[in-house]
Amino acid sequence: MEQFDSRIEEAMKMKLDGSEPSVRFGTVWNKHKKKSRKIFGIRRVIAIPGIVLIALLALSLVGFKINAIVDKTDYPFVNDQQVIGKWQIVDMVETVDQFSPDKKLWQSDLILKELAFINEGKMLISVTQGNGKLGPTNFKWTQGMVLNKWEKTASKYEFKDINGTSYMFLECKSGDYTYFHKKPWYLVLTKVDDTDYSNYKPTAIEDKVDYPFVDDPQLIGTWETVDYVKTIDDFNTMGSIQSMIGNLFLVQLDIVENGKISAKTTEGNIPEGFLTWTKGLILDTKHKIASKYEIKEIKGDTYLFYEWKSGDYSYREIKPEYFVLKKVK
Amino acid sequence: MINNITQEQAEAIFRKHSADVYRVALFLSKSPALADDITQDTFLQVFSKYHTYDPAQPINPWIYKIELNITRKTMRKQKWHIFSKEIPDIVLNSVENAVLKNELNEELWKAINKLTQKSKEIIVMHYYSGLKLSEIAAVLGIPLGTCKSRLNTALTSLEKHLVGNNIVTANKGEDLYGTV
Repeated sequence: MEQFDSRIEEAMKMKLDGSEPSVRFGTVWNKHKKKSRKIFGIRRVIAIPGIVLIALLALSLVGFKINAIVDKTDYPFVNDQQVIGKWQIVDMVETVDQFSPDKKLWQSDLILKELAFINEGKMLISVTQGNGKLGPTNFKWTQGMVLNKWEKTASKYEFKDINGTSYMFLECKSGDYTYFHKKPWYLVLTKVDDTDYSNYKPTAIEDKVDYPFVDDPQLIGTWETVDYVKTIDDFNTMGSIQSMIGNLFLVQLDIVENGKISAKTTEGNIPEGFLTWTKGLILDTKHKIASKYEIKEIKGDTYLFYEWKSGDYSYREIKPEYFVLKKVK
Repeated sequence: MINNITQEQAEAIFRKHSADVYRVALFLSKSPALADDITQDTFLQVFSKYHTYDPAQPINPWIYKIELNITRKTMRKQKWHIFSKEIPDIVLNSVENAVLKNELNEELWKAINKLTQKSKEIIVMHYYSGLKLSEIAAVLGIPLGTCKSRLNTALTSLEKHLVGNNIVTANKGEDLYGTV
């Protein structure tokens, strides 16, 4: 009687022992060395620190967003007769005490030029670019504060008499304050007049908008905003800091056949009917705005460059900038 | 823990173990081409992970553990390649075939090839590679009890395939414990 175990062993040895691999040590060793080198290859040497940097940047940007200061802006309106009128910016200072009427401390250009405080908390502003005329703004005011619901800032103002002149010191809450938590500097303003600009009608540019419909199948689809740039050439697929923080007003465009568009913004949805399109143009017929668009293929993705004609264009005649949207559907 | 492998060490390991690794792969995959691929991939991993090998332990179980993982992955990818349940005779050594005149061995070989993949793994590790059950348990990542039970199942299955032969399997339990 044979032992079962030894029979199995014998059967397997007899069947398998003569077989030899055709693969040779040299081949395997060379592949191993090549694979080992790849670990420290040039692509990885560049890619690993690159990925770490991008991750750190993304983390810090997410951190900025999470840590962004959000001021309370829903204050009820309280009148302040002293502030009504037009004020002109004369300087910007770090502290109120720093200001001297005889010596301007801020040597660079300031974007804001004038602020008009109107009854019931409304405001108009003019800027140093474009036509320099007063135009609409998101700013509102209540006693002691200028409120920006869009940027979620509440900037305090105070008055100070210096050499017989009344100056307004208004906190300038920029991104340094919102994202980097820096103490705001002060805009220094002097009063130009006491006029209530309630009846002031800013004049807006009116584009031709009665174009016939011309089809553009390339435009049809869902587009998501990825960036906002000064010129089309400024765009790169990495995106700007602003886009990474997610502070873009226009969120999405849904463009369908026959010239129809609906849109999503951070302030709510724009239903179909307010915007229309024809080849080369997106039209806002109500406000008489015709915005050009361009479609470009970049690194395998399709991007829409949408000329953004905001109030800066319509009322201040400032050159429009561009929303950049990526085709997702 | 040891340093990265040198070419001399790698060559010595390859020369000593590559044939066995290939044969186990051939038995499990039933394909000389796949067995070559498995052998190559096994040694690529052996060389690249050599610094994780504990030299106080025998190297065979460590190599076979790598090989079994690679074999399973390869087999999953190559399921459509496995047509036959037995290694074609053409890949076997002709001299050995000539020697293999014993009908019982032929029957036994056929029966082994009809086993499930799990049973074949344990049979080849135990009876061909000569690993102890405790080593096989470590290679397969299963408890020793499960390993013994799995071998018992394999042997019982073999017994069923060999009904009518004069191969006696009554002592299989005894051997199981004897090999630990």
